[in-house]
Amino acid sequence: MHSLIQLSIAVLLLPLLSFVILIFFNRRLPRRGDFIGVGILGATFGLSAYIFWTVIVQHYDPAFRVAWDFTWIDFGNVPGVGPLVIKMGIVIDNLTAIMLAMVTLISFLVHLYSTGYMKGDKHYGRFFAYLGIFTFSMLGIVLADNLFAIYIFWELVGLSSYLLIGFFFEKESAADAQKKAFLANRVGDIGMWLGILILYSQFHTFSYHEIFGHLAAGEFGMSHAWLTAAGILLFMGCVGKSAQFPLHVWLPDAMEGPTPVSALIHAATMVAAGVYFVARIFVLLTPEALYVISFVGAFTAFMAATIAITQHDIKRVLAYSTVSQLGYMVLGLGVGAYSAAIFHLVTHAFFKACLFLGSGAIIHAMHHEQDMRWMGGLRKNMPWTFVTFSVATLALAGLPLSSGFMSKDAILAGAIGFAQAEGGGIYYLVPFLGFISALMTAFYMGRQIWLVFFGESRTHLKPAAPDDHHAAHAHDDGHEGEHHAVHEVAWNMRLPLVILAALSIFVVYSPDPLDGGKGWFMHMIQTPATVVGETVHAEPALHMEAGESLAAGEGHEVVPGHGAAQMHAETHTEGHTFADPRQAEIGHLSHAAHNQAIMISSIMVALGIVLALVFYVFRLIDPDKTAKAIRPLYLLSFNKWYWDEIYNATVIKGSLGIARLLSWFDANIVDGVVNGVATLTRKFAFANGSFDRYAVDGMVNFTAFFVNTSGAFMKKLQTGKVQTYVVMVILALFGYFVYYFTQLVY
Amino acid sequence: MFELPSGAEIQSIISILKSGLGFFIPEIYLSILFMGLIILDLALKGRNKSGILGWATLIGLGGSFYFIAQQHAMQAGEHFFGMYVLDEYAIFFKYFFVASGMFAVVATLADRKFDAEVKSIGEYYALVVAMVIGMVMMAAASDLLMIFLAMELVSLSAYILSGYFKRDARSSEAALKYLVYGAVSSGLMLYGFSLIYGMTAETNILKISMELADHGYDPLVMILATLLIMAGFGYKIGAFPFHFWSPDVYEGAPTPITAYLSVASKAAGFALLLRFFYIAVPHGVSPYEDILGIDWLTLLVIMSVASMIYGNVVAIWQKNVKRLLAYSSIAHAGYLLLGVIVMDEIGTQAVLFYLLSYFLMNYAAFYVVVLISNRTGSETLDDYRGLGSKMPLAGAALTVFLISLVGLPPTVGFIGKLMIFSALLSKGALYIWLALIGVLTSVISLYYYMLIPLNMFLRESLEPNEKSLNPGFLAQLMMAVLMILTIWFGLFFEPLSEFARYSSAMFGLSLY
Repeated sequence: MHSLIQLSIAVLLLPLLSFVILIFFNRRLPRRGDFIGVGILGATFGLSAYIFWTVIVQHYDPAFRVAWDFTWIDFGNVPGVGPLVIKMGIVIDNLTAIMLAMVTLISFLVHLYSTGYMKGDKHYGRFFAYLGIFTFSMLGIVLADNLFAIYIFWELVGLSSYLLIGFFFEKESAADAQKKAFLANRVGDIGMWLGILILYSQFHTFSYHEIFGHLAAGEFGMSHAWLTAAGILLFMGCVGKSAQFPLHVWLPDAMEGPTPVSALIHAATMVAAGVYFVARIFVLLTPEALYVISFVGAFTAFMAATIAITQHDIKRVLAYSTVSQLGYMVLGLGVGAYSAAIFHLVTHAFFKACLFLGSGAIIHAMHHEQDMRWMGGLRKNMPWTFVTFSVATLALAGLPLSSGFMSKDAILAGAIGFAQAEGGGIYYLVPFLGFISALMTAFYMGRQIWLVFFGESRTHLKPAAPDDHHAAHAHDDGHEGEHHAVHEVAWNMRLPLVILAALSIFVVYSPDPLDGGKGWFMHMIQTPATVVGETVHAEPALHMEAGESLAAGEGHEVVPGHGAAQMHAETHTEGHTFADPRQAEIGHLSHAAHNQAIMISSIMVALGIVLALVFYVFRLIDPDKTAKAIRPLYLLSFNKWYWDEIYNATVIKGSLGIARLLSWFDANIVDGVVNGVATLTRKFAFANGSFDRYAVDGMVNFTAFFVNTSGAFMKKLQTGKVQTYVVMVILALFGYFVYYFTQLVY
Repeated sequence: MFELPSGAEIQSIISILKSGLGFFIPEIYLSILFMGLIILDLALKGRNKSGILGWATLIGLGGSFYFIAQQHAMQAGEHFFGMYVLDEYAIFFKYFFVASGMFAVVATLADRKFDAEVKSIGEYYALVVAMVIGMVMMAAASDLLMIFLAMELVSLSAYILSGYFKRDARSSEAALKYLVYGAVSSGLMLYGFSLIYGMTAETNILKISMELADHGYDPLVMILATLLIMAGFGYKIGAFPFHFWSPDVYEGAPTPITAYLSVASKAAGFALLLRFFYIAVPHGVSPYEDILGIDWLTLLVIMSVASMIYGNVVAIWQKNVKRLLAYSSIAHAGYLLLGVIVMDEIGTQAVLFYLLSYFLMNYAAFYVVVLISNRTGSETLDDYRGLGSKMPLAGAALTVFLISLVGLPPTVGFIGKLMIFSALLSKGALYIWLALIGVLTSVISLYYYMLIPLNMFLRESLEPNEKSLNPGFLAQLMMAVLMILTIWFGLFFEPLSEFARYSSAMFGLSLY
């Protein structure tokens, strides 16, 4: 076993250890054992950092890959199915190494942060236990080398997310949000499982590597449409987990969970798992499936951005912004900008975690006030939070010198290239929606920063409505009528903010603030060659981009029809091309569109910021009046496009209707039949005397009765007298003998 | 008038015996241990004598693993004029019985009743070792004489052990019943042996098989002989209708001995039964078919079905946990017989695996029963009420073991039953109804096994007593380990099933 594999197993199991210790013993440990959670996660991060160092810095090879597997269950030769073996294994490549470091770092920081944020909570220890099992499951997704394992861990992160959203389960809204998240994810997961089964039915393996090999060798026995269907079904898992339209509705509600959870799970890691998963299966997605993915991503990015503009709750703005950014990543994968999408995944994870933890610090300092209308002026009181929050905001808005700028531009360049390669028309909608969303992102983040940090404190403006939850909270705490001074948070909550903000600056990823393609990241994560494209015999250098940007010109050679094509594809050489012409063309065109994308997106971002300034800083236009002027649009955005209402009216009412129908059927038809039979039987029994009673009692009782009575009868054989026993044996032998004797005679 | 053997003949006999000794080392080691324990018992004085003896037995038995392990490298074959055989199958059971003996010692060390009932532990441990020797020889015997001698060694040791609580009337009654019943069964079996010898003039089971195949036999005599032999084997495995001794003996005997009898003695019976039926009864391509017109299958099927039904159904009525487990062990003999009925490689593998799983869960269950009776002084179901809150670990552990005995996943018992039933189904449609009976009777067993957790967790104690009954750290550790193993092997059963498959080779040949 490779030493990296051994290390990664330790990385995987350590958080589980933390969970086991804390869930059982947190009440017996000093400080409810939070130091165990933090310590173990620190160690986990240390190991992951070592793996990251070895893979990324020491090897620095885009094709680096270490794999290990073992047979988990061997059912042998199952009739009608053939050999049925389920393997489990770990694969470590650049993507895994980067994800490992990212997940464990953010998890560690969130653990640290939670020691401040969750202090004094009734279930303080349990919170850390849940964080542990979440981290374990997330690392499982990252490390797994097959679809079956990823599905298991996929469900486990779903479970941990469920537990953590409903962490304040006494609150009804939290319990509802938790159910909603679980059910919405379930819809996506069913699709994903069907997709896995389609692939399994063809290749009898769950391993990515083997599936890709079979596909590259053209062994997919069903039609192309089925392959597209498999791709879209697998993508449904991502739709659920990464909150893409139409299953995005759960994520904003998931903000009912504690804020560190929102940062870790519902911004940085778990929701990105969907994107990660699509990246893992990227090579088997057909162009048709990719169209669906790109449009879903573009629409989600746009829709969520429009909603974020009008929300008042600081966390909800960030939640919709998360949905929007996830839309970007999905869009990026859909248009084939693979490395850009993953780049954005990582940069987004850091700056969005920073934003959420920052908002948590604000909420903490504001005594659980979440409504931005009653904030303001926090800049002076919370300088650390202000600075880090601002850095992350710049990254999210996509301003130059930030990490978000590089990754978002790479995606948008890919989108332009995609639209051009597909011949324009409707496909230009994808980059168009992307740019509009960039504008809106800059606008709503500008609005947020201003409302929260600038101006004067508006705490006193808050109407003390009796039904207001937060007001009630304040009353409970005996704060009526007085306003506590807002203080900067303690070091254990500040440190994570600083680290995460630092990771949102461009130098971490690339020396050139305008081009992420020049950095290590885009070198290490390269678009893998599709295994389902048109098979063109490898011609030398379709689009030679020697020495040019790595983001676009680089690819891998696939020898079509070759069994080990995938393996072959991973042997990287400088400056060669995609065998698939579509992929090659998109790569080429998106590289050419790079400067164009920078231009347009810079203009869009500038426009967004100017708009925010006009509305909120200079007050040239009154936002409230504007809202009234375009009331229908405002309401559409404010009410989140009415998706909840639509689902309520269709899916929920529909299911309830069906349930009611079935209940009616059950109550009237089924029960009617049963009652009718019962009545008949009763009469029959009445007429026939008492021995019929057992028939009415039903099979189960009758069986029990029968077994019981026969037991009572049979136990009489055990007389306790040894003479009887001996006689029994002789009798039994005699009986057997008579039986065989008669057989022999006749 | 016999001729005296010549000097050369004597020399050759001695050399054959000498050559066999090298393959007999574990048995010699165990015999020395047996004698050593008696001497140690005489030499030791003081209060801790019983503890020291127990630990010495435990260590001594553990040492024999070293000698057994070395036998894997040896050539399989017959020794001592075909009396004794060394093969993987025998080695499997050597491990099994030595481990059983060790577990019996562990349970004895845990059982407080020994402190109260027994003045001097005396030759108790030595007899446990003697029984191990007997069972090891049963598994390796390939000669009718050897079989009889080995069985008698086991039986005689068991009679004494089950009556070891001399002042307890139930214990003495158990020993006496066991003795009478055992003597009758041995007598019947010996009569069957003599009939076989009369037909073939051979005692070696391989030669018997060849002789029967070459010269034919009178079917009537053959039926009688085999039926009588079955009486002896059936008594050892405790299958219906040869089970009558077991409830009384299991209830009366000291609990560690009950566990020992229910696992090891039964396994020894199966070891013998499998070997005898494969070797001594000639069969061709498909088992049983060429024994003229005799439907052997029916005999085994009746025994198996009757055991499953009788054991499970009567267990429902038991109020004493030990007696309940005794009836359940009759049912388990039925399940094991299903594996014998299959009579092929998969069947043997399934039987061996089931024995391993039964070893784990049944010993573990009895161990917890011992611990509970240490604290409450009782083994009746009513006295288990409310124990779940006072001994949470014991309650949880016992529940896991009982779930395993029912055969529910994710425990090792589930895999055991799964292997037995799938072995049956692989033989074709005729066997489906047998598997069906097995599954249905398992459902019945769910009822009475779950009565115990029901009483422990859901019913209030008859005499409210709030103090918790801590069984001690070592015992808790032991229970936790057994619980984890029961579930662990339910999930990762490959090592066990591979071991069982590897060990199903007799005489170094694959028989099928």
